[in-house]
Amino acid sequence: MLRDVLARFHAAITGGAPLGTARELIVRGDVDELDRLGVYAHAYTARIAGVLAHDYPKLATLFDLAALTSDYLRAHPPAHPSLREVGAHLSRFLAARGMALHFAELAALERARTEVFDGPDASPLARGDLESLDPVAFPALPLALVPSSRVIALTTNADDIWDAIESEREPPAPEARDRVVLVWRREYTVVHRTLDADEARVIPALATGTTFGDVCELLDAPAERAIALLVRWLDAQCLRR
Amino acid sequence: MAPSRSTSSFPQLGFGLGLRREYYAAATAGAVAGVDWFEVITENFLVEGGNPRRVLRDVREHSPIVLHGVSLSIGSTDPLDAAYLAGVAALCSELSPVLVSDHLCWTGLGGHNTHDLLPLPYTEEALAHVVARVTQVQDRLGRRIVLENPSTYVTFAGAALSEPEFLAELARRADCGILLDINNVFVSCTNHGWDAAAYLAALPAERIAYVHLAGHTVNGALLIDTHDMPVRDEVWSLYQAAVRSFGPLSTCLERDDNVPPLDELRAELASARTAAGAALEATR
Repeated sequence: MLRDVLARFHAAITGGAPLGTARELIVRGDVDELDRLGVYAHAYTARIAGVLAHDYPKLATLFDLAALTSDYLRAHPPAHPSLREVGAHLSRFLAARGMALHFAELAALERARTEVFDGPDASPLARGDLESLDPVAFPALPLALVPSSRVIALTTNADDIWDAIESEREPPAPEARDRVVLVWRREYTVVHRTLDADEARVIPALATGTTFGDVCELLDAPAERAIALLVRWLDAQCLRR
Repeated sequence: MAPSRSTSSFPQLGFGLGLRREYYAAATAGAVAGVDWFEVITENFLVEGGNPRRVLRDVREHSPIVLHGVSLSIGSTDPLDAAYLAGVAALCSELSPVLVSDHLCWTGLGGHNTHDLLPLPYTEEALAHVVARVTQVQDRLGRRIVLENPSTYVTFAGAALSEPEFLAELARRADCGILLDINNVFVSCTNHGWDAAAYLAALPAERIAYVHLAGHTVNGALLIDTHDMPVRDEVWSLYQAAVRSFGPLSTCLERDDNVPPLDELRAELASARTAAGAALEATR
């Protein structure tokens, strides 16, 4: 009985059934039942629209996210206790909807930034940690990205679009571009960087954990390049201790 | 005459604020003058790390914390979320919050979370259901929890109990506390034509762990619990009536939208302190 009442109410306010189907469940009083039920139906969509706008601030400057919210909720009804997870499927939703690819990729970038914001803490590997390392031990040096990091493969210039919106410039026209972006958290600040082509080749190995020797092999370049990249990663605090 | 000492069986916390992102810097820097404690939204901190957890640890250094959840969904007929409860339990272990609260409501069904505080039919069946689930939660957390009266816009046909009767009986049977949201009492009483004084009179004083104060919006014939403006005069009056009935009340001021500078909210919290003092004094 209780489950039946809740199920009919839930369906009505989330769009699974016409709002009026819950009319007979409730007391009218001085206000029409549909107006009363409408408060809940409106709050459901409006709250999630607000969350999407908050979690995807760059995307929200390009088109009206609120207009998509009802469709998004039908495709991906929230299932997690935290509002943080409400927008987790937006990139996939935009791609499946057939929208221009840079929208979905910008969403993926913004989602990655949300995920690393409050992901696991870890001490970064620092230059000082390697000062006493015997040079012969370098090939076996384990290297791995900090756990609060994401690697995003792009096929558009969504990273440039993000940068332009961030610095309040006119976003560039969308273009096809094969790029890899690393998103990570430097202490409590979320940062991302578009990787050099050779750097992008080794990042998947760093994401799962590798050694400096393997990095050198993957780079297939003079040792100076591998050392330069290692120093770059150490200074960026993107490797875990 | 108002009881000069609290009639609550819960600790007296004084006057606190809902901690919002805008206040993180001040709240982590040290004790905030005029703010005795902070209430935090549990779900915002059920994360693995980063700034939210740092903030919580730092605030806890200076101030007592109350965990206030919005996703327990105590009234739902879905099974309780074991992972969610494990997260709350872990936060409790880490932070030793003074109280753990949530709402008398349900937020979803069939695994579909609306992220809204949905109303329950106040029936004997629902009461038995919620009592059993509160017991489960308290057993899992190893402590009493506190449930808040919601703002509601509908009441269900066939209800056997009034909302305060339901709350009182729930608190008695499950041995839990009540978070008395004064604004919600005013909003729901207005929306449904209930008597706010009778509502307060039906509540067991010893079960009231703390109270909420917040603002609401008038939307046609209905009041909406928006937490986006200062406490309204009618709610201040009802708050004073509650203090006169129950004695000193741990009090938390909430603002979730149009969040003002901290000093502005501190001034409003000082008004709560003054209003409570005046209510107590007037009955002596």
